[in-house]
Amino acid sequence: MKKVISTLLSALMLSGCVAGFAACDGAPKDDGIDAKYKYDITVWVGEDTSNLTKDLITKFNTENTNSIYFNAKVIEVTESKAAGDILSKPSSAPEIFCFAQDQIARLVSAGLLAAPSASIKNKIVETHSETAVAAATMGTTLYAYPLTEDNGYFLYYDNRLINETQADSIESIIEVCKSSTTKFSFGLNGGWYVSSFFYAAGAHSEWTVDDQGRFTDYDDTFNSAEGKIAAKGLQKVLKEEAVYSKNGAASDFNAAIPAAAVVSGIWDYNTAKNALSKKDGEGVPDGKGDYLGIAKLPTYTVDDESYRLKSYLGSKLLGVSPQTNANKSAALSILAQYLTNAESQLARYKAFGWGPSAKTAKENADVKADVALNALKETATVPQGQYPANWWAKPEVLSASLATATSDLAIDTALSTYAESLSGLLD
Amino acid sequence: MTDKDIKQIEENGEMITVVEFGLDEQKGKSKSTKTEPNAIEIDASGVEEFLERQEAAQIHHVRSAKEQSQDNKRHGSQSKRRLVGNTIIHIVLAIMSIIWIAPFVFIVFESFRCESTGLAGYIIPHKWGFDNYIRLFTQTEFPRWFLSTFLMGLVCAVVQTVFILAMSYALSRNRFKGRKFLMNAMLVLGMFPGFLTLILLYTLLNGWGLTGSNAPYGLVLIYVASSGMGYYVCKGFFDTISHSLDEAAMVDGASKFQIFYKIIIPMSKPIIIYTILMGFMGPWGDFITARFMSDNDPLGFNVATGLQWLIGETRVDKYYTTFCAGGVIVALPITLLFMFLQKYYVAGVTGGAVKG
Amino acid sequence: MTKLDSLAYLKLNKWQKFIYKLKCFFCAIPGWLDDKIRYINRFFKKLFFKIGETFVDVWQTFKNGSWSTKVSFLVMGFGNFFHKQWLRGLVFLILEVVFILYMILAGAYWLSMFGSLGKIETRTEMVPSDLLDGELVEQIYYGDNSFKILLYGLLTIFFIIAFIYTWRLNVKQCKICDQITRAGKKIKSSGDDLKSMVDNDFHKTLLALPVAGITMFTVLPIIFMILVAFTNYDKNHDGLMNLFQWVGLDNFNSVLTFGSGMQVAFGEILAWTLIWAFFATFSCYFLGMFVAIMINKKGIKIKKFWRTILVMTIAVPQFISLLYISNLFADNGIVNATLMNWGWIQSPIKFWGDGTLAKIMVLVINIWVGIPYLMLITTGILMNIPADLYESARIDGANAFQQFAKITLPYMLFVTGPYLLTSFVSNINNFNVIYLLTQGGPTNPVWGDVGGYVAGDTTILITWLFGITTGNDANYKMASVIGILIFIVVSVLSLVVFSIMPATKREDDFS
Repeated sequence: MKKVISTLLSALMLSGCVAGFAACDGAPKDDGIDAKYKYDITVWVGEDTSNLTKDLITKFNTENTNSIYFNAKVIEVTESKAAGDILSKPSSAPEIFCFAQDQIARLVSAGLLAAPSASIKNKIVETHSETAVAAATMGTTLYAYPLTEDNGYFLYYDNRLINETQADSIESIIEVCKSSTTKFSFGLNGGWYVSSFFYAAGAHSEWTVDDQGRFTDYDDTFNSAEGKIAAKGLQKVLKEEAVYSKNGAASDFNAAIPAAAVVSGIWDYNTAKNALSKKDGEGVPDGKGDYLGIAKLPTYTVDDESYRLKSYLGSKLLGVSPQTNANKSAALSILAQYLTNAESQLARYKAFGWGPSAKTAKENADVKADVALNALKETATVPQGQYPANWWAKPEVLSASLATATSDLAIDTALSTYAESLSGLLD
Repeated sequence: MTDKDIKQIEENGEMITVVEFGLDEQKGKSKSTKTEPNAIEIDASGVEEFLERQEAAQIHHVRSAKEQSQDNKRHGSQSKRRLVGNTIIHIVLAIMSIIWIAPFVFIVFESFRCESTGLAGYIIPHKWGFDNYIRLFTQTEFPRWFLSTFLMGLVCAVVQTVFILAMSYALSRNRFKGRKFLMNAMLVLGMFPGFLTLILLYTLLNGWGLTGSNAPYGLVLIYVASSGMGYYVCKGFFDTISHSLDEAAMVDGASKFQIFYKIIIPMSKPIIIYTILMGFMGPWGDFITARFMSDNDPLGFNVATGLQWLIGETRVDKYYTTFCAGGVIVALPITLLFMFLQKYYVAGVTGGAVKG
Repeated sequence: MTKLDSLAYLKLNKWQKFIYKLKCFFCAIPGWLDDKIRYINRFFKKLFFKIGETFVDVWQTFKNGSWSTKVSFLVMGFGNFFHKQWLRGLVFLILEVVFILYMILAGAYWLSMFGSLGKIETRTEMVPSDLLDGELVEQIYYGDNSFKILLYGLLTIFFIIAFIYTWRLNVKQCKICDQITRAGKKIKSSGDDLKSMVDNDFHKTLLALPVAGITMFTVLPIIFMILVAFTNYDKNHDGLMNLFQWVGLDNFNSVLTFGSGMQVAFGEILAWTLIWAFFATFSCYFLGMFVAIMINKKGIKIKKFWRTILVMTIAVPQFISLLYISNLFADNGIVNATLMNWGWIQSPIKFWGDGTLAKIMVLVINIWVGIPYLMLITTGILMNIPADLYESARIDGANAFQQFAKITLPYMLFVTGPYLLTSFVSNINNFNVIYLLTQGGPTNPVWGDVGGYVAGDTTILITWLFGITTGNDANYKMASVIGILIFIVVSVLSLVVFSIMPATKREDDFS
């Protein structure tokens, strides 16, 4: 018994000690910097990008002329999850955060994005591409700062199995996969990828949004003759055993049943390159990506006519949360603009290959010569406008019902169910 | 059952588990209910022992010669059948063990894979090494996560045990107004889906500055504050300790505190160790509450959140094997604890199951 | 139904006996319910009676009390001071001062806002900033915060109830003091109070902290979430940027309205949740028992080794092992690849892609998770089964299976009844297994897109709930309605089972 008690006591003491040490750890540091506008802020950026962001902020601090100084805590949050986290606890929203374009409507309607002031807005509109500016705009108000213009998908393939001509159509890719027991990995269980079939056939889904992030109207032709072609093509692909429709990531090249081709985006470039490199005797890849093929999205064929898949072209955005102090708000928008300017975007391109949205950065020789970005440019031709947050689930469910549909009638039903469900998304 | 028996079983390498508390119980019983035995008599003997006794009974049975010879035949065929049966069981157990241990072994393999860091389509690494462990400790905040989770575990183990013992003793040994209500209320409250209240707990803790990088403190508070609701198992155990001991002590002028401290606690070693074990293990697997409270700040992560963070969407290719290494390291202390304290776990869990 | 006498019962064959028992069970339910309703009825009658009694008692204490008692009605603890009970007096006085201060400084405000959940909306204005040379910049002015009003309003109500209770205690004590003085006896001193804290009132000392913790971190949040079900708290009314309000029963209507998408999804998911909980509980239970019996069988070697192997799976955190298993069984995972290499299958099995298969998979993997626990529990219990039972069965010529069916199983069921129930409940809320294996998928084409969260064939209520709160909608109001419904289903189920089960009634048997 004594043993137990002595264990308990020593445990208590130990934890007491560590509590003390941890408390010291959390004490605020006084950096002795004397600036007129000095703020402690929290910045959320994408995974593995905090170091670069820290460097950029340090650079901003040393460069600045407006006597602004930021003491920034940089935290990594996946772009797709940032908005959800902020919305679930708005009171502790970070000052600046990076998020994927499809989240902007939710953030605006919840009032969590501060629109930049007139002069900064002008600068952004001037320096960034139209698509990226449109991505950051609700109605007529610009709400965010375009960080990239590369959110789309294209085809990665294993050039030992698939040649360039085969990579041009889904049918021949599937043919190769069947004969080589490999997979064609395409995330067709998500609305973002499913849409490519519909845009290929000429159908579209466009939504009108007002300045407050409310969706007022839509123009959707998924349930039409073109839509039906797309649905048929989609169904055919979904029913293929060789198609793996979960998530679609370049890591599928490494799977036990490896993928011969994967539809994915810029973020997967390094993974794909590593996976499709020459390997030495022990299986260590050289990282050069000799076997990696990159191409625009393939075509699919319905009734002997082929349709080329089209990807969305979206942006990652930087947002500034509303502040109770006008000067802080202004300072933050200056920083956000700095973090998204051509120079910073180029730095980001060099570090992670992210495609820039700034016009001058796009003209950079390296960017222009980038294989992946060029494939994206060729195939991502649908500017990803604004959609209600819950819209993405609709094509997903549509895809699920197409996968189980067995008749033409079932396809029609699935499409009309989809079309009927849309009006519920209007605010 | 004598002390010698217990020792023998211990030496045989078998679990003694309930033996101890069974003994206590019998002592108590022999004092209090000699005349009227309970409906279910709980026998403290181990299964092995009782099977031996069965055997003996069979052999020493007095029978006629003819009967005996027949019986001998039957016995012979029976033992043969038993041999076959046991062999089958051994094979089944071996297969089961492989199935059960396989994922763990695979994860260990993954953690030693050096040629690549992402997901792989094979199990046995081509190139072995400690790279992932080195990366885990030098390039990630893992040491911090591990330490803070370990400390959270310790604090939980201590405070939770104190709370549960207090709760259980009060509910088991005292009949006061509102006792039934309290017990029912806690039973029902435990059925409410927990994470609905996350947002509220967050607001409370955020008000006290216990979120973000201070999240571990807040988490401990959450884990510990409601831990009294886990009184179930422990109270069941206390119920089995005879009241006559209390009464005897009371006659000697002991206060209730003294009874609790000097009589009940020393008799409850298995259940206390069980409670400590459970308290310590609690914080290791929590990845919902901990993530919510941490505000994504790696300084405030526990092990589970931290490791999950390592395999985020775009990081997974870089850190998957490191994640596995982290998993192995986390599993180590818990495995060790379990190996040494298995019997207490059984006693604890059974105590609860027996009594409800 | 007609009740059989024991003779008639004995004449029945086995099957009929079983049917008869089953009938008895179900026929007992209405009676049981009736009993409970009467009990509740009685309870309320008693409650009202008691409240009335309290008022009378308070009034009489005031009327008949000494002057110190009368002062105590205003200044709590005065009577105790008067009778030299310094400790009690001090505690009462401090409580009163703290309470009044709290009410003046904060409580009154929160309480006054509680009815409306906030009046002033948060707004933004364009304000000139000298940083940008006087350019207009957006600045936010925070208004009321509905969330905090609801939370602190509730807390204030808790405090008021606690204060009323304390006040009543204070009055009662004055009355007792008066009575004792009148009888000419000695009043308990502060020293006596302290002593009784570790003796007669020891249970109060013990319960104080744990119960306070539970009230603060469990009861308060649950009541809060229940209240949320009656507001329009969601992504567009987050309480901070946009106020939320009371909306009465609207949210319940939208879930329960027959034929609405929500109702269909709720029904489907509830059904699968119950099926899941049932199979998850009993599959682990029986298989775990089976494994324990195998390991404990005489003649089995290295028992400890088998147990340790199984137990090791407990040690690996689920978020690692289940994630790994989920990858293992992916369409392009190692299991499929191996099976194809062996030539057992031609094309991969879609373990997670097919609804029915996915359901079976989560159940099977749950068995993998659950057996070690059950094995440990059963081992302990098996050792407790009186040996003479087996001995006599043996003499009667029962074979191994009969012994199991007649002795082991009934004993196990009897002893582990409550455990079965708790594990059923925890399986209803078993988030980890489903979430880590399938995230609720595969997406259901019919009712998969309801409530702003994609639900699938393996989605159980708790993972649905998680999706609804953390998904696109952050639909807290709906989540809390569903939470309440889960809670009702679970608690009614378990209370019914609990009061019918024999095992719970023998709390005092052992002493």
